[in-house]
Amino acid sequence: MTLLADLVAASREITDTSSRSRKVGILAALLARLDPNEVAPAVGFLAGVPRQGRIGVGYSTIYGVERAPAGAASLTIAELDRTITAVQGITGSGSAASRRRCLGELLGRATEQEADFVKRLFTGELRQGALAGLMVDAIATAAGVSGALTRRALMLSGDLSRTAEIAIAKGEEGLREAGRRGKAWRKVKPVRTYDLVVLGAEWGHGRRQGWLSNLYLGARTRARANFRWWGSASRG
Amino acid sequence: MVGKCFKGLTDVLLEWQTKELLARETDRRGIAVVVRPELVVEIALDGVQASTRYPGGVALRFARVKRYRPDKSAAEADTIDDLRALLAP
Repeated sequence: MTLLADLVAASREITDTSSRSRKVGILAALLARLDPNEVAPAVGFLAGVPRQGRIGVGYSTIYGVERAPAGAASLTIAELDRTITAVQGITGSGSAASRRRCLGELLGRATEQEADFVKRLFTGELRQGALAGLMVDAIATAAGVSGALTRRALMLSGDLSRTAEIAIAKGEEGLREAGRRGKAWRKVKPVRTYDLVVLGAEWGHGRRQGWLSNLYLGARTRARANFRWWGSASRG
Repeated sequence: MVGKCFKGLTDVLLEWQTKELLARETDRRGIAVVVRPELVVEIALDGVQASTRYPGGVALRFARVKRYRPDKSAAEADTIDDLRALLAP
């Protein structure tokens, strides 16, 4: 469980230094200390874009909630993430009051720095596109994976939080799956599997140069073990 | 032949499969290596559709390699009728 205060401090340090490598170092150190389920929300907070997307709380609402700051930091990253989900889910009549109450409870437990961070996060003031590039390097450093692979996964998924989650939880293999939309990236319905016979294979290209890659699959003909080579090597 | 598949292969598996296939090579045709039909591979699929491209009459939909089945011989592989059973009536 990581305190929101740690993330807020890291966010401030990043703003305070102009050194790119120092910024990446700060981000990587924070990411490496997070619990796996904190990675996605934390990346969103740091980039100024909560993973839930648009929260639906306006400037006047969030800045209208005044609470005396807490003396000591106690809020966690997970709590802020849950509150955002909760606030977003409030609809219908009386929703404005419910939202204010929800935000009041959150800010009532926040220190001054945390409250300031939360307000800027909610209004989109924290959003900084430039952070994505730094974050990719920080994710790669924290997860000990290739930067190029991480950038590719981000490009394919368009989702920084998800990319970070995969890099840290599943490593390079998980990132590679990004291009093929494998099981790490989206849930596929349970499927039946078939045992088929390899009749041949094509030489791969690109990343698979020098390896036999594309398998030609055969099924058995009724009861007889009869695998005929079917001639044409048509491109699929 | 009912289809081709290159999805789901890890680097380790690619390396292993290249070695094993070359050991069973019987012929080369263009970019393809033909092998003795001995290796059994477990393939996941979302379904099949009727095909005129493949002589088996069916083509696999979204096929990907789950793993090799060294515990199975080619005689224990699924049959073309097992696959045809997936075709919509």
